Amino acid sequence: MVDAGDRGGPPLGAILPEGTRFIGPVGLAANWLPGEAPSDDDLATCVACGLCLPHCPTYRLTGEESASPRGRIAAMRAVAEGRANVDATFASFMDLCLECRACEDVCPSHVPFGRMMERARVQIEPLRTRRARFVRWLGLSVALRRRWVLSLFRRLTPIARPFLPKRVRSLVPRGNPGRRVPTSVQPEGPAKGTVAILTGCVQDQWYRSANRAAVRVLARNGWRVIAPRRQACCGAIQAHNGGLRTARKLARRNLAALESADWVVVGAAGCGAHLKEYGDLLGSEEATAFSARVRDLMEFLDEQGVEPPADGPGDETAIRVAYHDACHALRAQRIKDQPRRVLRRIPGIEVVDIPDGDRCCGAAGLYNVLQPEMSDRLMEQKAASIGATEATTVASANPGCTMQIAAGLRNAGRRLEVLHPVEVLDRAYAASDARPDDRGSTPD
Amino acid sequence: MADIDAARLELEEALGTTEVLSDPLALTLYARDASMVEGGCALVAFPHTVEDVVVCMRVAARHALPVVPRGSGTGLAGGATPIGDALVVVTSKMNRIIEVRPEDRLAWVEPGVLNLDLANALAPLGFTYAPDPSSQQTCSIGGNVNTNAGGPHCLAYGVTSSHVLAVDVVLADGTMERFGSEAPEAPGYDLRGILIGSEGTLGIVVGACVRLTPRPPDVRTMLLDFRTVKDCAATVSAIIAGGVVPAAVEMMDQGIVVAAESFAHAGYPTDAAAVLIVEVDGLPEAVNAQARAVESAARDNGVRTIRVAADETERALVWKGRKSAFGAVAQIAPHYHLHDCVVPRTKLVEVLAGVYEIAGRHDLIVTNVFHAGDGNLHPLLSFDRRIPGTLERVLSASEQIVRLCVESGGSLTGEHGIGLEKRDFMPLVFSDVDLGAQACVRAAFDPEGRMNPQKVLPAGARCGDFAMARGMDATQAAQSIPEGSWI
Amino acid sequence: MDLIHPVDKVGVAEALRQATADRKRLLVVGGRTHIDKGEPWAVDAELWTTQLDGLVAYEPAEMIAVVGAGLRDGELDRILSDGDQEWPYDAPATATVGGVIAAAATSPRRMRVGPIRDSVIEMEMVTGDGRLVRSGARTVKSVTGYDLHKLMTGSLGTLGVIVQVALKVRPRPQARRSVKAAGGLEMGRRLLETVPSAAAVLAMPEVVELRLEGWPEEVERQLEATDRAAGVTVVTEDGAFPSERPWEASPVVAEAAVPPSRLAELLSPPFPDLLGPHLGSWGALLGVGIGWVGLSSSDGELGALRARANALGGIAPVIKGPGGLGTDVPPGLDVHRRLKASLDPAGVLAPGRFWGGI
Repeated sequence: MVDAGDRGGPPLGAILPEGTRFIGPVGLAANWLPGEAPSDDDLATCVACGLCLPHCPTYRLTGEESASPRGRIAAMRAVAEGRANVDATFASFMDLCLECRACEDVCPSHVPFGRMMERARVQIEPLRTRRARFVRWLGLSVALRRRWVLSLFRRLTPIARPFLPKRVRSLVPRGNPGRRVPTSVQPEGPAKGTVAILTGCVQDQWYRSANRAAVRVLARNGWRVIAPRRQACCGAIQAHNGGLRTARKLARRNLAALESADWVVVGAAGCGAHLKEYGDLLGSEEATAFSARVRDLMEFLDEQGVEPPADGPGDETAIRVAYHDACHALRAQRIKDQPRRVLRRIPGIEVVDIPDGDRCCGAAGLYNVLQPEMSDRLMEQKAASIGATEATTVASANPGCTMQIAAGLRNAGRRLEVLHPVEVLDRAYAASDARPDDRGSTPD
Repeated sequence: MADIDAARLELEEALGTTEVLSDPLALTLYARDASMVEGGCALVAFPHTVEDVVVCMRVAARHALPVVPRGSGTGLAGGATPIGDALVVVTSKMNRIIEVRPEDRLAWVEPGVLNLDLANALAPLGFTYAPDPSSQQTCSIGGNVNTNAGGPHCLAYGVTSSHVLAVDVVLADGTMERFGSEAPEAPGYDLRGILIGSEGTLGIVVGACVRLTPRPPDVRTMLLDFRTVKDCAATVSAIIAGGVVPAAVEMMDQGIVVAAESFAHAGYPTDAAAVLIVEVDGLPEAVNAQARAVESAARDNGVRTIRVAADETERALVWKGRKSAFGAVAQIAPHYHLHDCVVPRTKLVEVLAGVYEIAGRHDLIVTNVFHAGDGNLHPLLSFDRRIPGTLERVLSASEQIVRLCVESGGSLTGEHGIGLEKRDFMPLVFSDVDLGAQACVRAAFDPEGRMNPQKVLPAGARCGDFAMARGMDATQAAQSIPEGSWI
Repeated sequence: MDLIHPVDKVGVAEALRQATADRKRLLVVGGRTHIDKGEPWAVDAELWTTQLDGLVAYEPAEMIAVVGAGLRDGELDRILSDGDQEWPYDAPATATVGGVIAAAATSPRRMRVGPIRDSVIEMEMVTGDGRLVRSGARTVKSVTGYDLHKLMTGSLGTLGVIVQVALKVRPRPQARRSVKAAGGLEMGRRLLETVPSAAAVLAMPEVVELRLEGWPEEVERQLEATDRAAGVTVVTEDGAFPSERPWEASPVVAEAAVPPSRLAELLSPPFPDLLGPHLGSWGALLGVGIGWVGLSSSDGELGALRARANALGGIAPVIKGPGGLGTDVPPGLDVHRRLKASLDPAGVLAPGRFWGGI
């Protein structure tokens, strides 16, 4: 029962000056376009406290509310309350978001920002120019879905390089990736179980060495490793860029291709995070059960244990590895200590953290191609932070990040190798095998 | 009707088109701060230098636009909520630490520097910046200056006013002045002192000279729990009476401990009626002596368990529960209204009981955190504003809570400021004459009244109106206005 | 010279209303201990605050004391001792609380206790035209409107008459020691750097006096550090600090205020030699930036001291004897004038006494 006080009338503080109002729906219909949109319930969770701002990489660089989670939510609310439309300005605010989800980690109100942004991206798709939509269709629905298209692109790159857009040219790595991983590898002794690896699309074309190293390391540690050829692109990039239908098709195909293994192990953080969300994406029990069997490669090795190598990765001197946490490992999968623990089992290695290590490197899927200026600034920031560690090597378990960091270090004139952490372990095993008698000590 | 277009062109000319916002959707994002009140504005400008701020003020003066300064927009009282044709001047891009001078124990910073960033920058030098409000990761020094920000450590160390030696301010007419000094005394009236806490109504802060506080050589953090709130409050009084001024004394009631524990798992006892975090610092000998005194005071007042953090990790864990309070509260209901009551320490128990009673009568859930050391009570009213009628109940409960605090001898707000939210409460603590004098002070800085209008003082307060105070008849009024005086 | 001696706040308000109506210029007087500070003034009457000396409220558990502005500092100290607390600004016993605040006197223990303005949390004052106005609150933290009491602190009675204040007080330290060591600025600097958390380091030409306060164990440790740094020392338990103020032997005493790191520079050769025999003794609060300098007159050498203080980023008003405040123009002079005009419209409160000709 409300007590109106002894004067009657509205309570003090309830009467606001003209031109102001208490926040809340204005009673007008939402201006969303047809299709999925951020839900009212999700929008209601944000109380605009602003604690997300300093953790948002784009807010840190711009100081502008529109480049912050709070501001993006305010824009969504304006559309939901009928005070604004899904227009070019709205699209520009949404497009600048990295979807790194650093904000979700620190939000006291547990606002599901990642989900809201995915839906907002669906909303702004129709705004893109026909040319832009065609290019995205080509990339997301055609190229990434078909391995042979990517493979063709890779083979043509050395010839085509001078004609590529400068941005793409600077990112695409050089060199021959070598052989594909075999479809099935047996361990030396009895198998602990069967592990299916997701070879990925970008990873498979340009970072095959990481996949090969993964297979060797898993086999050495007693696992039968299969790499079914029927698997497809994981669908993460499509899902984050408004292509939920295509993403679902890819998910169903991967479910079928990888279901026979005990575990599904993924060496790319972005893909691994997405595979763990197949349950939400498809909404079926089968998909949920599948997702429960998915592990990030380094997470898996930490959980199941690895044989510690007798030797360091090849040099006499200790090497210093700066560990880069991909957003999709750190946040979406809560993987931080696991890869460091695995690496620290290697003798002669020092694993260091990168200052402001939890800030996105700016790769963010297609972001580094679609938002080159912001991506460049973040790349520069990351390269400088890495430089400050005085490391010799950078370990990065996500091909997008690897590409971005390598480009950033090149631009900054720094000579550091960027490797997948499993490659560091693989090299250590190789070095131990090459010199089994010199050391005179038995492995643990 | 102000010529917004002309103002916009002049601003774009001087600041660059990317630093001026006029798109309707972009302006919406600056229509509110972290309070429950949103307004509207005509233009948003992002100055990078002092000269840019001067330009903003001159353009606003030329076109008679109200000016609303904004830092990070974390204010809870609507101090940065713009109204009407306002020009919002955002200082977020003026975020450099200009110089640090350990030999003089001071540093000059731009207003957009974030509070925690400053403390982190000073840490390697062995210093910190003492005022540490809960929003310190986001709030800016400029915002701190304008609300005279406090934080858990201000009982022992003092509020912002004790930690800002000088401020560079651009006044409404575009002139730039330095109030205060790097030296311990400055000529003139303490305009620095009156600017601190003036909520953006006297000028725009473009630089602050902050005091560096040496990091204490030793610190000890204790978690105490009690069977009754009374025992807990009595302990706080006993600690003070024992001659200890702890660096921090934070109290949490059972409701918020239960919520925080399920969220943060800091190891707080969920069956305690109240929990106290006491932190003492200084030289190791002083820390030992203070800790002993605290324990003795606690035991004399029925403490149940005393847990002393053995190392930095445990200390962080003890604080974790307190710092997760808001995250925990959001699990009770999606929205919350955070109150800011200050009452005499000795009245804490009865005020707390009153708060529970008011919340109960309004069918609202309330949990409480307190900076018990300075009597600063933060009731959190949890609610869902989408349910019709809820907001009215929250506002009614809020009024009664504020009245209760004032009747207990307290103040309207300890750290959040008056802003928009509490203007109409000012007559509860100040007479018309008091408010008239305050209006005079404001008019001395801003004769045209364009700096953040409609904030802090209620609509009726006017300089020169003092004679029309209630209870004074016309003859008395006439007699008290001297001939030829300035009105 | 007329004398007005009201017994309560209403009396003060009435007196000011009358003075404004009659255009009678007033000097506000408490204990006269800080009366010399200010530019020369001419007044028609004195208004004494000494009868407003009541204790309004004091609760040790709150660490707040509310007192009439005419209460003597000595009396306040006695009252607070009963609660084992103090208002640590070390004014002369006959000074009034209001006077000390209006003069913004510097405590010798400033390095530990801070400036006096940080201790005033609520104030009732009477404006030049007789309005009784209150600002602040009786709580340690408050952001409620405009803090007029901040303006009033140090205003030398030119904006209004302070009639009542609420003060933040602090626990009386359990152990107190004054330590004297031979040496001047150099010894002072050494002690400042090596003795942790000292309450004061007062360097004088031949001797340094150190003040240590706190828990007994803490003070023991500080004494050890002092011995290591200074060698031979004379330690006094309790007692007033400082034990002597040699600069007060001079007819003119200026209180220089410069950034702390430059204080030694102010008082180091060649400057003292330039002043020659005109320079009396001096006391420098190291780590704070306040230096009390005794001079034989307010002629040329005062100007030289002020010029030097200005060059180092500070000021040097006189606090005893003739000499005024200095010609420094306060920033925001227009704001100053408007404040004066609205709070003292007839200009009856010691016109001309303040900085900038206010």
